[in-house]
Amino acid sequence: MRLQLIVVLGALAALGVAPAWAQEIEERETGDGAVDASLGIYADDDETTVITSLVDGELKLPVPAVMDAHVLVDAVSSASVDVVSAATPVWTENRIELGANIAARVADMDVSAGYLTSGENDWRSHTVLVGLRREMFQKNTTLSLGYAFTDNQIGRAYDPNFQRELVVHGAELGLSQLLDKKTLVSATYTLQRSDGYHASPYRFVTTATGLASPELHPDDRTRHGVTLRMLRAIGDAASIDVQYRLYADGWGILSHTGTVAWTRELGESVDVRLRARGYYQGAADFYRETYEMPMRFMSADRELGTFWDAGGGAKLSWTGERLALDLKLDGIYYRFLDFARLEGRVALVTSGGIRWSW
Amino acid sequence: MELVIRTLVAATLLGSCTAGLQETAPAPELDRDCFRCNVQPVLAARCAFGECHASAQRPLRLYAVGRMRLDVGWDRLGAPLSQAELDANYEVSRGFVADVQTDSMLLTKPLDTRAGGLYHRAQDLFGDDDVFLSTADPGYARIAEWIAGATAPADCTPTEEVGP
Repeated sequence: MRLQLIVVLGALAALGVAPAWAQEIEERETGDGAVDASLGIYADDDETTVITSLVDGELKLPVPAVMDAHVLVDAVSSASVDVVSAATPVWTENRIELGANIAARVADMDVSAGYLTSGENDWRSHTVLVGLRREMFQKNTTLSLGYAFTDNQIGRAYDPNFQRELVVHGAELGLSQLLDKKTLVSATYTLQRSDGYHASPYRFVTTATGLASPELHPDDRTRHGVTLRMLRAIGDAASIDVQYRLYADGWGILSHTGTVAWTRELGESVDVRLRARGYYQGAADFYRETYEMPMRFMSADRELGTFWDAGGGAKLSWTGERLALDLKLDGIYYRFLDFARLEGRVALVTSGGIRWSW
Repeated sequence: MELVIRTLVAATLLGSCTAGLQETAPAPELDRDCFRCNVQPVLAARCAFGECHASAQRPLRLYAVGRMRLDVGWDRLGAPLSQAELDANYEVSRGFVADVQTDSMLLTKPLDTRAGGLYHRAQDLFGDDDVFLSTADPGYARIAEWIAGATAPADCTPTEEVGP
């Protein structure tokens, strides 16, 4: 069963899987590299636990390029209301992701290309990513462009005859501008188009008339997101990072996300970061808590309904000459406004990482 | 401010909205007498067990004599099905009927995966065999005929040919 996307993406972001840009790499010597290892745990009071393990390595090549590869394993255990209501008591599974990325400086431009593959018992995906980045105006302005293509093969546990496909194209355009010595602002637009099977083969909808049906989602979905960000240094030892994201899609979902993070150096090698995040989303046009009559599209996915979440946490980092350590703890409260089977849930996300560089 | 955001979003989304998001889609009108005489006996004999679909927990929840009842007391479980129970079974069953017969989960779920069906937990309960081992099963054929549009007279007699 595919994980809640927010868990996966949250884990990836928390664990630092991001392409390294060549511009940073040019300053390194051939053979320089680093290995990261981290462990993250997500647990909520809806009986879901995800343990994420990651090993990531990078190496500066003899040419102006850096190669990066990672292995990520999610071990999931869940007895959420979704699966209990589908008459499955509890399920456990592993998701394994392998990825590689190369970033290089080509003709004054940073170029990156990567490949990701992910597999679990009922889902396999392959992703190809490419990116371009160019600095302009004495490096005060940076323009970036990215594209990703993902092919998902969706199955159903124990079922050799259920096979669906979901194809996703994603593009991202980013612009960042240094306003002064202490202030960086950026704007990013993302566009994603997906075609294929968007529903869950495990969820069913029952109408007020007693008619039950497999979940029926549209075959296409177009998503737009705009993220505005300001990063500003405060004094010599602190900075504040403010972000706002507006998201809208062709299913009628409109969402707002706000994040504020404050980071302060505590001595020469210790940093502490405090972060708060809030999210609000309106329901998809075809989502109903109760369907009075059968509709062309029907969903039992609470994440297509109206909900908000709020959370915050702290991260402590220690950086030595070759060794770096970090520890993070976040708490998140989710409130589902039109999903009768679950009003809300509380989640704790914690992770610890170690990095060795040479 | 909210209006400005919505206007900007609407302009951005122009051309990317999925069509028909709020359309109603009535379930197929299938013959009720054929259901009562040809399908209900199969569902009662092959599907409506307490561990299976005679349970309010299942999306396909079925009422049957001696099993789960809707408006009949526990002391009268053997009473004939009420009209309300038959209507409920008819309603829930046609929700699993798709435009294309071979995609109808009322047929594909109970059909053994080796015969092209979808995985069904009954396969575990019945020791690796599912409800219908093949499309030649009389019970499967009864349901398939109903989905294909078969009708029955109002005074029909419920079949006893429900399969093994």
